[in-house]
Amino acid sequence: MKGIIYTFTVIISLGLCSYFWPKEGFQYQGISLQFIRFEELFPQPKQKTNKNSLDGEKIVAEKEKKNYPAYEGDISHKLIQFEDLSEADLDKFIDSLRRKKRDSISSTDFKESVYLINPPYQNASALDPFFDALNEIEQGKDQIYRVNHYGDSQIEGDRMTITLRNLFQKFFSGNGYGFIPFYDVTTPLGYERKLVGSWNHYKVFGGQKHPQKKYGPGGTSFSYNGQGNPEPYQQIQEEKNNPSIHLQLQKSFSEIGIWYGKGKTGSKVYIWSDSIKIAEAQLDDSSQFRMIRIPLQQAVKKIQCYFSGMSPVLYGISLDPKRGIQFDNFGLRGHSGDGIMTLQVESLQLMYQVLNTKLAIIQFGGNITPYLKSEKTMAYMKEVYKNMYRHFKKALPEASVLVLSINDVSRSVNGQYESYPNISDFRYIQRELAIESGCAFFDLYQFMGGHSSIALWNRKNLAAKDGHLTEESRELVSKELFKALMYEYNQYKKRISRQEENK
Amino acid sequence: MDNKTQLEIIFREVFSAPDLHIHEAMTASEVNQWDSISHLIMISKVEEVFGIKFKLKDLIKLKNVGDLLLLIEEKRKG
Repeated sequence: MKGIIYTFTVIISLGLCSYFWPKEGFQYQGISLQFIRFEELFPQPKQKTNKNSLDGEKIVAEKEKKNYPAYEGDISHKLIQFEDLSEADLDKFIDSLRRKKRDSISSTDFKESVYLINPPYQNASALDPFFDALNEIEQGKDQIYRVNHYGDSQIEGDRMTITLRNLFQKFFSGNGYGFIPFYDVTTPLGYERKLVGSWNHYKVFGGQKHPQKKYGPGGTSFSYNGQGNPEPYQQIQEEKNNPSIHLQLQKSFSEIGIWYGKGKTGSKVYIWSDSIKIAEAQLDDSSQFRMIRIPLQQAVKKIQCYFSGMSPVLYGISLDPKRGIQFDNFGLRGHSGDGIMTLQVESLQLMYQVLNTKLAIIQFGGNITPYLKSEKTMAYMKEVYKNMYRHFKKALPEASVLVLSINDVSRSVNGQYESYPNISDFRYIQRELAIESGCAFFDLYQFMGGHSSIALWNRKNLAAKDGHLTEESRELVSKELFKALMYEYNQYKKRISRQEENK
Repeated sequence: MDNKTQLEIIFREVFSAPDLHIHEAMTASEVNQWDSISHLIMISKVEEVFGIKFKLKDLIKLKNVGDLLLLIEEKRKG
């Protein structure tokens, strides 16, 4: 009995000490005496923060609301250190890709890819929000879902994006070019563009930066100088400097989207096709980001947008379907990607909500390869990319993020082209960071054959020695990525069916 | 030449901006060519010119030009 009383007394005494012990401990002659605190023994449930916070609780709550099918995907067989293909095997592999490219893609081509990792993320898969959108399109939902493709010169001017867009639109409906910037350093694929008048072009990287950091989701923005006077048409022709953009398209469109923000009273856009005015709209909304869809009086291939009044912050134009999937190309030549972090999470989040973005593809890394020379620079870039992936993920709490790794890049050493030495390691860093951040990952470097593969791709006229893919290889890569994503989508649909059956 | 003037010269060269004037609150968003890659080039130039070596944790903490100037001063003293 004495023993029980003694034990009980000790427990009570320790409990009292734990409860009343000061947080900062007792200080005695420079020594701090600490004791385990009551809150540590019995942690309180976390208080919810304000409803707009971007914390994990909100994301989990959103996911629960969405009711994603349970996912415990085992990705361990993909988290391996790859062996590079021998040149003979790589040669055969590339030839097989070329042969397959000629065939149209069918569901039998959707096979698991060891290069695509779709990790579990908060009880669902990282790609589930995107797959949810695809599924909703298949269910007939009358909405446009967007994919924003970010990258450097490997994707500029709609490269790669165009193939992904065409394939997804073929399977899930949709058409159009997606986002069209007012100006870009490269000639776009699929349409012609001419910008008339005096314009300012702002970019998060590689050009003039906006004084108030006003950029669209792709990290660019535009404004015109002066005020246009777009009517009547005869006057437009005479006043050659009217701020305007002229598009010559391959297909006819009956609707145009204008992406803008910080509109001014009296700002307007007049849309003409040759000498016929087919629409006009106010651009006076002062909010940070708007996308207005302007119906045109007739479907046209030739579109001229004339602006009048003070310039809003203009982000771009889009040509989209009425419903289905749309891909936007956000290429930034020479960039490593971190400039997008100039846009605060809240701003990006707002834009993605307006656009209904369900997937962001992040394809950066090629430009950092010459600088990955030491452990310190590798560690520094790791920190930069960790922050970048997290930034995107926070801005897209209800959407998916897919990281495409760096590809092989070579440089001349004593007249011979050799791959940069640390690309392989940095690709593994990208993989680790992507998974940690809740992003899916496609190992483009390994898919292409690993170390020094670019030399063979170059000899087979599929890439420049510096790593830039040709039109043919961009199509090869995009098709394989599409097939890998579609396999994962089919797995998602099986999970949904099982979930329905269990109900 | 004081640290700030010397740093300004480096900035002008690395970021190809001959008229650039640096100030303590300046960040990457104000300088056209300043991104993670040119940041590495700039840091390596600073190490070379000032004869100092930064640690990774130092680099990660930098928020603006003022922080960089303080760090240079610390490293030169230490």
